[in-house]
Amino acid sequence: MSLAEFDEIKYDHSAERLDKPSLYLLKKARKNRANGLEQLRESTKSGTIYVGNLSFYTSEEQIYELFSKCGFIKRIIMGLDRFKFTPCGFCFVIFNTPEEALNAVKYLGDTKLDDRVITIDLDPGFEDGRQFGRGKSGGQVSDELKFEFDASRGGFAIPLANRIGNNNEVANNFGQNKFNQHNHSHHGRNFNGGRRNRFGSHQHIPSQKQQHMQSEGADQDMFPQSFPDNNENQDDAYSNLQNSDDNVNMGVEDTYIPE
Amino acid sequence: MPDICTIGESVNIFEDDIHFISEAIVHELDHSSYFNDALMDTLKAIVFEQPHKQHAIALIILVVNKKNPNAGKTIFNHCLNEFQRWLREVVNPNFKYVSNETGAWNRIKLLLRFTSLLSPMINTDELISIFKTFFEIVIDINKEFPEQRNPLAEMIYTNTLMNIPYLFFFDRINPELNLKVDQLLNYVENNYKPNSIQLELTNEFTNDVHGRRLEYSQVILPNVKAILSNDKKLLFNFFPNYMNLLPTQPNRIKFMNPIKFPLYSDLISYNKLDTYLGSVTSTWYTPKYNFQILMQDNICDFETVMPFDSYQGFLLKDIITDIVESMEFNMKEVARQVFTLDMFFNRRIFAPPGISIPELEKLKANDNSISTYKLEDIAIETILSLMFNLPTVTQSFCYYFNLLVNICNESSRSIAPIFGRAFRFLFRNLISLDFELILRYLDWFSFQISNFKFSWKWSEWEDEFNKIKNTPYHPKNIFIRNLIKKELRLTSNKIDIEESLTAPFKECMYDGFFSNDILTNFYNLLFEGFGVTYDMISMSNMIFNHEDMPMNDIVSGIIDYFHEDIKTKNVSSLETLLETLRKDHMSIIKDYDEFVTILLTHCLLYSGRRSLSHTNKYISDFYDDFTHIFNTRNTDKSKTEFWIIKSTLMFWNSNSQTAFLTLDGFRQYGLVSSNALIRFCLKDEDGKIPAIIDSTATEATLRVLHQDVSHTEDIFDELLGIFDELCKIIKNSFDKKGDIHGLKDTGLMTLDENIENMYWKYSMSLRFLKTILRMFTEEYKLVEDSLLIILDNTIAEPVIKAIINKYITELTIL
Repeated sequence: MSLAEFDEIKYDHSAERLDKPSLYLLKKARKNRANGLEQLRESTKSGTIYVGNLSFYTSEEQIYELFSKCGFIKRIIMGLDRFKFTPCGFCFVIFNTPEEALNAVKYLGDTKLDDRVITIDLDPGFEDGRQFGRGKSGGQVSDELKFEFDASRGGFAIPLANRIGNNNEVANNFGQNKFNQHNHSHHGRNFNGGRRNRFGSHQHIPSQKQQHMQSEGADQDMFPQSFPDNNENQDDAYSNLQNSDDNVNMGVEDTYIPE
Repeated sequence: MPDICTIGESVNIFEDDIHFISEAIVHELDHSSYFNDALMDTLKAIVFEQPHKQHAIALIILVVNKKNPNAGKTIFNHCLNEFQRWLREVVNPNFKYVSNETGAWNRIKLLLRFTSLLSPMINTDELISIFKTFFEIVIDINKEFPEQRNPLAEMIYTNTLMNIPYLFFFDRINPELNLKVDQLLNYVENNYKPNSIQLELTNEFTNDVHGRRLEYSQVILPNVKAILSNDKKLLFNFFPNYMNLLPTQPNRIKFMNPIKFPLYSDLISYNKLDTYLGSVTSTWYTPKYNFQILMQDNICDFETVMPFDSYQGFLLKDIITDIVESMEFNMKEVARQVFTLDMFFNRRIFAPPGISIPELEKLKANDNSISTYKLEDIAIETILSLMFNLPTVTQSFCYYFNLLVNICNESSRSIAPIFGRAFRFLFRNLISLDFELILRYLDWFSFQISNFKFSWKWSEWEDEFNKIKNTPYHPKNIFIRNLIKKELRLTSNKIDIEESLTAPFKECMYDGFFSNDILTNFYNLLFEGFGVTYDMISMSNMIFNHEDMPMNDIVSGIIDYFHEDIKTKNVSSLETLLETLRKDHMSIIKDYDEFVTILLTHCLLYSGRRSLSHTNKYISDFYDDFTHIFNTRNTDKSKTEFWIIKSTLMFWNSNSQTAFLTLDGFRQYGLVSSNALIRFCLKDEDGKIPAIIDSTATEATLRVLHQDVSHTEDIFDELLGIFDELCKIIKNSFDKKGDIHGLKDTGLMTLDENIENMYWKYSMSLRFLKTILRMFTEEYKLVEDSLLIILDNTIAEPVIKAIINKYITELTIL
């Protein structure tokens, strides 16, 4: 599918522009014949950006501190694990004007926040529900495709047992049922070096039901029960499938949930 | 076809590229309109965005012209059409400016340069006549405004003169051209002299760090005359020599149509350049000065940046500025281009790429003729001068910040020491650096080191910090404390910061907005017959919820109320709780209205403490209830606002940025006014004025003003209020510190600590006043009379009065 002006070869600059939609957005728009092009156009004038590859520990205030250098921020929406309601490594930043959002894409791409190179992309505009991770474990899909330990991102996205089967099955089942399990272990060593989460306490990962019971009144409005559909997520653009051989020799103690 | 955009980047294949590209153009031109358009657009893009490659493009065209004069003429005519187009745009009020648009006049400058490079194929008289016409415009404008600085005349004069040496780039032995250029220079020198002006409002320092600032318009003529003197030896040693690639040209081309310059009557309405006319063009609105950071110092005893009062230094700065501004859409390319700039000049005029100062010293010791001018230093200083430009910057700060990070990433070993020099220069000169520039320095420093694991040699500032740490208004003390707080706001891992700091600085990590005593006292003053200790505050998330608080059960009830479903909640239940509070605990509460305001604010902040979004949601859901309660109590609005502001900062004492961002939310819902917030930031609390001492308060103040400028009519009250308040602070600090006439911003270590503190309070307040006046010039211009009345009423001291008076007078120039 042709994407009109986005597919045109232009000679008006001597180098490519960085404030253009990413390959992921272009691919997504190409697939969406109904209104892909419209969404793409919208992404250049929505004033909204998607920020990815954030540490799970990065706070809204940190994001404000960085992105406010590009313009006036109207709102920051942290991406949340849809079961745990904890940050899961992405956010949306809504600026006052589309120019400010384009500036953020142009100027802050590849900068570091919490010592991680963040990714920034244009976005057609935030809609309720998009703040939740769409991975089966509740976080981002891209994390479920990662196998390396990433301390600042939050450790392992999925416990080893869930990724490669339980200890007895490691040899036989590696790679077969890594995305199949939802029941997280609630105990054991944490893999972020005992770091405290932003709310001041070591994070206990309750069951989904407990989560809803614990969530405060305002959160219920803020985090509606209508979870997003399973369409492709922005985070897919940044998935980083690692060589799974890296993890073959990991011991059983690695089967704990990261905090 | 090789990529024309990368022409010259591979020196070894440059000749092949010229041959191959020119051959392709000769064969393809005029065969398809697509090719023609693509070629012309590409050439144009390079001319405007990568001006250092202009001579390579010109060489291609000269080669094309030799091979096929018709093709050469076609391209040249396109160039003239473009020239004509931009001469129309300079008087087009509807021209749309985008961020990479440097402006019509800047494009004309670049096209004039490009046309000059083509001199061997153009009729000399016609070429010189373009220069002459530009100078005539300058002279005509000057005749109309003889005693004033005229931005348009100054800009055309400087840009036109700057391009004259380019006439000789390829046309090196042309007696006719020599003669005509001499006549041209004499003509302009005899008929125009730019007015020199030293503007205090845009001075980066309060004292003469560099001596007199060099003005662009003052140095350009001597620069050009010097480079053209002595048979242009310096010029030919500066430009690369491509004469071996230049074929003999056929007959010189005459212009198909004479160039039409805009009518003087049209041009004159833009003579002040006071509307936005593109990033580079608009910088001429105010007098342009050179800003030097990497000067000869104790780190190196030779210059690493070409002097600005040399043609080479001037031109390189101009070219780097154009690259940085016109390619802001791709900072990675900018970083690459500015660091390969030496390939487009005689490389011997630069020191070896990436060489360190010690290595260069050694080389210099062995061979005194070696150049000490480092391209990296020249590029970084130019970018820094754009970043620190006053009164405004042309692009968003984060562009410059991240561009410098990108440059450092490319070659950290050679670049990091240059940043170190710049950091140290600015730190050394904090004692006189402009207030706004201190904020920019703070942002840049924190951004830079946050990308490099927060590593900095803190130990070198230890001794100085130990001497000034009890002088709250000392600019270095202010800078260090705010830098550490800013670093903390940029990371979620405080341990990284703690590990990077040396012992004396670690304590700054735990600085609160208020001291522990003030904090404890604030809560104690709410009660009588009941005491609050600092331990109670520090051990609880919210003091009123503490188990020892007599009303903690009611507080829990209020928090539960905040957690109720917004659709079913009823404010009467909150009123009932407050009534119970009054009945049961009135005996220990000093001022019930104040207590209720502070308690409700605390409960709301406690409920929304999870994040700013949560807080804003609670404000949005409950501001009606707040308004209802306050209205019922008939509390004085200004008092209520003050209590909300103060209690928000008390609640977020260790994170004042969150407090101020929360207050933005309160402001948005009308619970706090802009005026109240500004007044609070300028109120002396605990011997400290937040807007001067704390960058979060400064930023909040400026944020409020910037937002209100376009939205409310109260802005004049706010701006006059700030001016009035700052004048009072300046006067009071002046009175307390005694005679300042003998004091300069250069140390003051021998003074009594309190007197020194008062001196710095005076100095920083004055600098803040200057910043505010400069930032809101347009608004202050309209109330100039009121400013003078306030000044007369507050300040009697003639020296200070004269300084502020000068600022006010200069408002009309800005």
